[in-house]
Amino acid sequence: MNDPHYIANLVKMLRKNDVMAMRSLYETHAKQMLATSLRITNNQNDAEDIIQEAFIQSFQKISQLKSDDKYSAWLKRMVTNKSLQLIKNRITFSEISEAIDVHQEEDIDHWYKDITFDKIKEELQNLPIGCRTIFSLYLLEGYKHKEIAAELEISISNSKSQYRYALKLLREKLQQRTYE
Amino acid sequence: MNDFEKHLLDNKKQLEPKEVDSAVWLSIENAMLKDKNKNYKNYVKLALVILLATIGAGIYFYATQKEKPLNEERILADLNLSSHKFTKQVNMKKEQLAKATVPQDRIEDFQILLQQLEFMDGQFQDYRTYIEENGYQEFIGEQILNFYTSKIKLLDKIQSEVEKINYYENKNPSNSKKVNIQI
Repeated sequence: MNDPHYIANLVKMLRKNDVMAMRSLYETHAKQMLATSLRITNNQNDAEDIIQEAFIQSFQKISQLKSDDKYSAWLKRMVTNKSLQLIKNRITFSEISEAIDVHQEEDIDHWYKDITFDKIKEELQNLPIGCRTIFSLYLLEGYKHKEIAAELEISISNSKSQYRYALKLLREKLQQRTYE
Repeated sequence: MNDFEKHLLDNKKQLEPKEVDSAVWLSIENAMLKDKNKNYKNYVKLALVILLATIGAGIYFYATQKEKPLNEERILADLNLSSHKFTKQVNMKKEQLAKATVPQDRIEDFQILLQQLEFMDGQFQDYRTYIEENGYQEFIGEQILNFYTSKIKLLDKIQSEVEKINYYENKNPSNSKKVNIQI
């Protein structure tokens, strides 16, 4: 993430309708916002539409932002909400029958060290929609299980289980690829 | 959080797309430009409305300010026109009466009527002075019109009296000298 002072200055300029500030704010946030939306929607076109809508909204309603240094979080919240809104109707959660236990010592061997991030990204996209969404929100977007549960109208324990399930599946898929 | 989770979190940037399609920014820019134009158009519309309202208010103000004097002027002009018309009638009648002659012994018959005429002329001067000092007022206009009507009636009465006297004079001529009425 960029320097908060730099972002805050851009927001100050944006409040004066400075087009260069818009462009700079877009440049500094676009990739991250697209990644956030893409991890939830799993669709490039949908994610691009969502970030486009969110940026426009943030520029037009900048007067609603109370604090200049909160722009990034505000924009991210917009992107996440819009993405969740889009997938809410089609989201399903896998039945988790077995108890999933992910221990810290499992990763002592650093099995993931040689796996490229492109492969990780690919496998992340291949995860079932429900657990992938929770995994992204919790680990990569910093949401708490309580917040995820409220957003997706599920129980906190279900959110935790889905997260562990996603982590387990991702690990299995990636390890499988290292043996191939 | 295990090491794998930490690894993902620490390298979150690596999971981001390498680039964002330039069409996304173009769409945003286009939308903002449209929005700006819309705002500009709204400002222009607002400015036009304010300008029209100002012009309208100016015209209304000018018209209402001008209305009173205009009305007064118009009424005074009308009054002058009427006065002129009446004066013409009055002068015609006066000229006629000035030429008319009556037997000298009957001239006294006209004294009261002539005094009335003199009194009326004095009244008319009072009206004029009032207008000069206080401006035009509707009741003065009415008084002036009444004045002319009364004056014409009075002159008609004098004329009719002259004709009556001369009718009897022609029928039964007297030795009395014929004199003009000092009108």
